[in-house]
Amino acid sequence: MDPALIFFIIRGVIRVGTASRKAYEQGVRDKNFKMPPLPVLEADIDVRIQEYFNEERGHARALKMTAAGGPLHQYWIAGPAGGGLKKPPDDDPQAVTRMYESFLTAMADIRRQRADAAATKAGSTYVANWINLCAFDQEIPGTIEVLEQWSPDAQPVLPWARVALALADVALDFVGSNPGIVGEGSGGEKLLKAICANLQTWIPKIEDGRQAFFVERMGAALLQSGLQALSDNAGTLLTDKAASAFVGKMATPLAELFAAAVKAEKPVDQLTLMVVRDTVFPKMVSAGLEVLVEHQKSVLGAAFDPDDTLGYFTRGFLQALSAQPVTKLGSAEAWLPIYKSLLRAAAAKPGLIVKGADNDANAAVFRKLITEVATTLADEPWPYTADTAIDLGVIVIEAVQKELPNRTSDPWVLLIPSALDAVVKGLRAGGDSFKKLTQPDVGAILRVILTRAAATPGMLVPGASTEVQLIVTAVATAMAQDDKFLISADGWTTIAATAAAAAARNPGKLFGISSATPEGELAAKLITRVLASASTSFTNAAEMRSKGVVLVGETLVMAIEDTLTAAAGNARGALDNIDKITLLVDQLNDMVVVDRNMGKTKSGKNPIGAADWNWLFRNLIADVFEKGLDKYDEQELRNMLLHKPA
Amino acid sequence: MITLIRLIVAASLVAVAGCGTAVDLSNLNASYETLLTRKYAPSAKADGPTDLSADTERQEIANGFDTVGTGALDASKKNVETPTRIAALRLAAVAYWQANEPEKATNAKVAGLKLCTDKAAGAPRDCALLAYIDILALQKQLHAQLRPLLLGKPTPDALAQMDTLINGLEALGRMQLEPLKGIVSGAPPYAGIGTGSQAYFRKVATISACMLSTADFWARNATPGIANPPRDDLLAKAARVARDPYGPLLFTAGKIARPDQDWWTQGPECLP
Repeated sequence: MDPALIFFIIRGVIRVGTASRKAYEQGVRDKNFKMPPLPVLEADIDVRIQEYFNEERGHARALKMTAAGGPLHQYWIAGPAGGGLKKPPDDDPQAVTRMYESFLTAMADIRRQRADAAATKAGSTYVANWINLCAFDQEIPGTIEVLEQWSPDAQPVLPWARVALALADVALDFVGSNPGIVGEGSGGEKLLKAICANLQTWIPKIEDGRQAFFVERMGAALLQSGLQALSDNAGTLLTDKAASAFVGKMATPLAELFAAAVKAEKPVDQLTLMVVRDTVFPKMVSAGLEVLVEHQKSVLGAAFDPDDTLGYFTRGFLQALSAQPVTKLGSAEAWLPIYKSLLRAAAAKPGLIVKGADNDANAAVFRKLITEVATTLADEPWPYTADTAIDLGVIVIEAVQKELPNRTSDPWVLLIPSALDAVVKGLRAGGDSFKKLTQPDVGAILRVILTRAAATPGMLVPGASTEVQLIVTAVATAMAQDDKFLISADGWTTIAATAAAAAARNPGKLFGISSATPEGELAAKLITRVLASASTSFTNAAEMRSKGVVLVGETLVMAIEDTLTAAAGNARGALDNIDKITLLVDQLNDMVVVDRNMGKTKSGKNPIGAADWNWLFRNLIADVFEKGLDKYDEQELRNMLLHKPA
Repeated sequence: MITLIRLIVAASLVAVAGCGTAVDLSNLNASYETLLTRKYAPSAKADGPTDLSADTERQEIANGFDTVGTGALDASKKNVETPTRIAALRLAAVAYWQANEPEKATNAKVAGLKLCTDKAAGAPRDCALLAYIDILALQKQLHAQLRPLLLGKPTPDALAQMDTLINGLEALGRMQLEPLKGIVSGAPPYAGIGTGSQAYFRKVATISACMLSTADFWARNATPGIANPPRDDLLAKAARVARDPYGPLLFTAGKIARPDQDWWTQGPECLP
């Protein structure tokens, strides 16, 4: 990874992280604050009216209104203590209301008149009732006061705006080295818009601190890796819909999982998801965009709608990351190649994915798949180690999905665990003999075997994948026995491919006769026999060259292929006459090997070449299996060569 | 790759430091509001001194406010921005006040006001509340003393108590002068304060003035004349206090046109 990009990522993480922390703090401290009610001098309306119009203490102008002939006299009873309100009739429910309204209106009028008078005439006698001093007639005592921090024109940048600015900052940083990446109409712009559009969906209230902080950091990670991926795939056509769906489906599962962990008060899960967000999630975004690009190209510009598939696939993967078998095998990042492989497969052949009733069921399918992969790889088979076991998973997934037909009755996601199980068992059956093998060697073999098997999906169905297991064991065992390295790695892949293809066309014939030991399999026996025959014709490389031995390398590979092909057609004959292979090989070798002194073969003839050797073997091996002949007449063989087709 | 992971995780930890404090503050705010609602909910009044359930409820609420205050005080000591610290101390001060812990409230107030410097503290409302915490507490105390006096007659004993109360009202008025000036003018650290918050502090000033005029009016009902010098002395004191500090205070609050306006004698209509 480019060191400059590393620095950019870290700096962006810090920048957005700091901005989002400050934004959240701002949101919390600037929230409206409730204060206890202020003390007001309470008075109910009866008391208020009686004090205002009190004949002894009341307002002078008010007294005229309650006196005889005044507009309020009908409601007033004169008497000791300055008089009071008359009780309204019981049969008139509106009477009380009318009475109060009359008095309050009168009070307001008087107040207004006095205000005008006071403005023009200072020093008037103060006779007002104390209750009227309070400007809070309409106050409801005990009201909690709400105080805001800022006036509208002084409001600092809103919390969401601060986060947006921080994200913009990250994008601008990128633009510096990649001009146009977020230009108008560009994929980068669409990505940024989609992220901003989704931010509030992922976290409706920024005051929800932990989730807000998690989501804002996730947005930054998504933006950074997304822009990098777009930059790496110049010319990518990303529609608004695709960008929106991509952003939503990639990030929503992660945001939802974190929200659930917060709600359930699971700090360990929260930390795990934070690490996922900061390490593997950006790479998932890159992988996702790569797949999006690949798929768009392959479907000739048709709009790729990763809506359902990407969403539930990603969710299933993220959920699986917390499962014990998965974490035991590797960190979240270690599982990224599996994610990429599965995503490619899902994108390439979405029709082969089993779909449940809803996205949760679909997500569960992928979660189960990954957990099964982890469980199968838990006790890693040689030559794979704990650190590289996941590589084996990647090999299986890629090989299987590559050749699966577009139409198959077996859901693709079910075939993967079955195939992996067969491979692991096949490798384990070899035991210590595989210690001579390297991972690249075995990986190459496995790819061709699985690729051939995938073309015949019935070989990978759970319960029917034993044959694949046996093929793996047989080829790996034979490889382990090639201690003179007569066959190259490429040669072995050819043999493996032939074995798998032959097994696919002839079920049970080459690998199902005896399963007591790996070497009990016909194909394994045959390969071993041909190999051993070749091996015994010389003791070292110098001797091989001096004798002119041809049964090595490609010639040997072809011989093994021909043997397997012939055995597929006559398995019983092959088993019964397996010893005859050595006799045939020896006879043909005698026609090749040159006596140093004579310059001719043992029989005094000119030696034949590798091509002739192969031709004779191919044409005789079936005959050997059929008739069980020990030896052929050399002259007859040479006559055959004279008349062989061009 | 492992180095990259470590670097990113370290960067994450640096960035996330302090977020937990804001979460705490949010939770404390929520607790405070719940307690406030409980305290001032219109519920059945206590039947009397023997109403244990009401007393228990009151004590429980007070304990709750005390807990909030302590939590807010702790939050103010964490690594957060200065305005957030001020907000935490504001919460602590108000919560302690509601818990009847005046000393703790004062400590929180002093710590908070130290951060409310002239150079834009970034929390104008909170700085104002910190400046007013003692004012609000005194106002509430004086109000509680005033109400029972008003309900009774202006006897010589009551007049003496009211005289003392007017001393308290004078102090209350003087305490408000400086902070109210700053709040209304929008000077630092109150720059940008919300208009609703400004109205709140103006209201505090008006209520204080109303209490003074109420005390004065009550005293006028006492028998005037030579036989009642306490009454006359009290009225003279009330008038003096009405002119200073309440004249300037009401002027600052925008309630009267001039600080020397004789709002006292012009009657209630001068207080809109």
